[in-house]
Amino acid sequence: MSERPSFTDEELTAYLDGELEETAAGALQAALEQNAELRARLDRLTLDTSQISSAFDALLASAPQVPDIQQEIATPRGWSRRKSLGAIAAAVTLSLFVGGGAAYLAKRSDLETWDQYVAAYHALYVNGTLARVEQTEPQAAAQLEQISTALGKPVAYSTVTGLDGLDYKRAQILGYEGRPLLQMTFLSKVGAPIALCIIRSENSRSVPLQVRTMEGMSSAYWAANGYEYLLIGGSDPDLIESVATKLTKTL
Amino acid sequence: MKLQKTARSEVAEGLKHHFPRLWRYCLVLAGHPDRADDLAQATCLRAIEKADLWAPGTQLDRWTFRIAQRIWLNELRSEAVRRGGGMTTAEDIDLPDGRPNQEMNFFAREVLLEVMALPEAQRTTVVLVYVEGYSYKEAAALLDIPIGTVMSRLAAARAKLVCKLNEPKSQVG
Repeated sequence: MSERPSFTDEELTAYLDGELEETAAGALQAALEQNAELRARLDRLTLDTSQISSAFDALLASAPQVPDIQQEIATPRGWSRRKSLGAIAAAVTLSLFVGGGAAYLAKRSDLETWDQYVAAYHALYVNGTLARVEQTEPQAAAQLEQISTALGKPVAYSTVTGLDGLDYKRAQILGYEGRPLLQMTFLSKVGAPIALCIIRSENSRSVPLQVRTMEGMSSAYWAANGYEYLLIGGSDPDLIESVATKLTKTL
Repeated sequence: MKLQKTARSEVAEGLKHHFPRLWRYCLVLAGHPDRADDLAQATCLRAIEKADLWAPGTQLDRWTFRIAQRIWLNELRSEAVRRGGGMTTAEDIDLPDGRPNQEMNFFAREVLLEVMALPEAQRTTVVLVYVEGYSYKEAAALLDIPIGTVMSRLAAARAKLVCKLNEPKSQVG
């Protein structure tokens, strides 16, 4: 009697899926007849895959309407179309990223206010999150203008590029409880990701600059003229304070 | 120029037909209906934009799945927040309401949630092979992975699903 051939779970799976080539399938079949242990292993992989397909087929009815692609094509204004594509791409980037963090944030029961959420979210940033963001200056300026204007709080490109010690990267819109939140990101000279976030204030009160540590990162919070601000990231409170002080005057 | 126009309208027409399936694949990739909507829309626009790269006569759905996947992976990679792919919020996925057979609905829902709870790499492979009916070879080509990886993803997914779907529910709520 020769040593009975051993089969991997991958081969058993391929067998179940009718993807194992004939010779191997024959050998497996023969082995199954002899080997109860192998049969038990096969059982542990046996699944009615039609249940999966019918469960997912039920989802098709939940699909949204087909986007009006024809209208997109019909728009001959190249720039504006490009722009809308960019906006959608930005929205996708945003929602994917937020989505990634969402599961983590959902587990945090200690988060109550928007700035706490932002801090917890920002704690997920690593140097690499922003290091590869490459935009030309006009692109970055257009993006900032578009996004900040959408928030109702236009931010000049020169304001965010003229900050000592911070290299401006990009802007995106996030959301907190249905309120849009403008997030601008930077890398510090030592490579720490820094974010400046602006949200429309719910009570319009003014709060003077407060420097504090959140989620182990330096941060500065203030509120003025109907908006609240949070600058956060890295572990250099002096940098955060000096940049924030400048921003209180320029924003 | 005229050729391009034809390719575009053909792609647009094709997209209309299989948009629900494209959206579903986006949902499997993205794990959340809202993100699936955005991804599906971005995929449609990209497909239109690149329509002249599509070879008429080949399967448009596969081509767009590939685009969806590329958009999804590239966004994710550039954001560097992918942590093992297990970030699905399966609770957010809803089957359409009002199905006549409640019991079946419950089970279908459970199957759906368990599949969506698999790591991203496994659930996309499961859906391509068991829902979309791709062969291993086709799935491997679309996912840009060796066939062996398709096999190991499916084996791992099967082992998990068999366990989950057979385990007695101690609490239903």
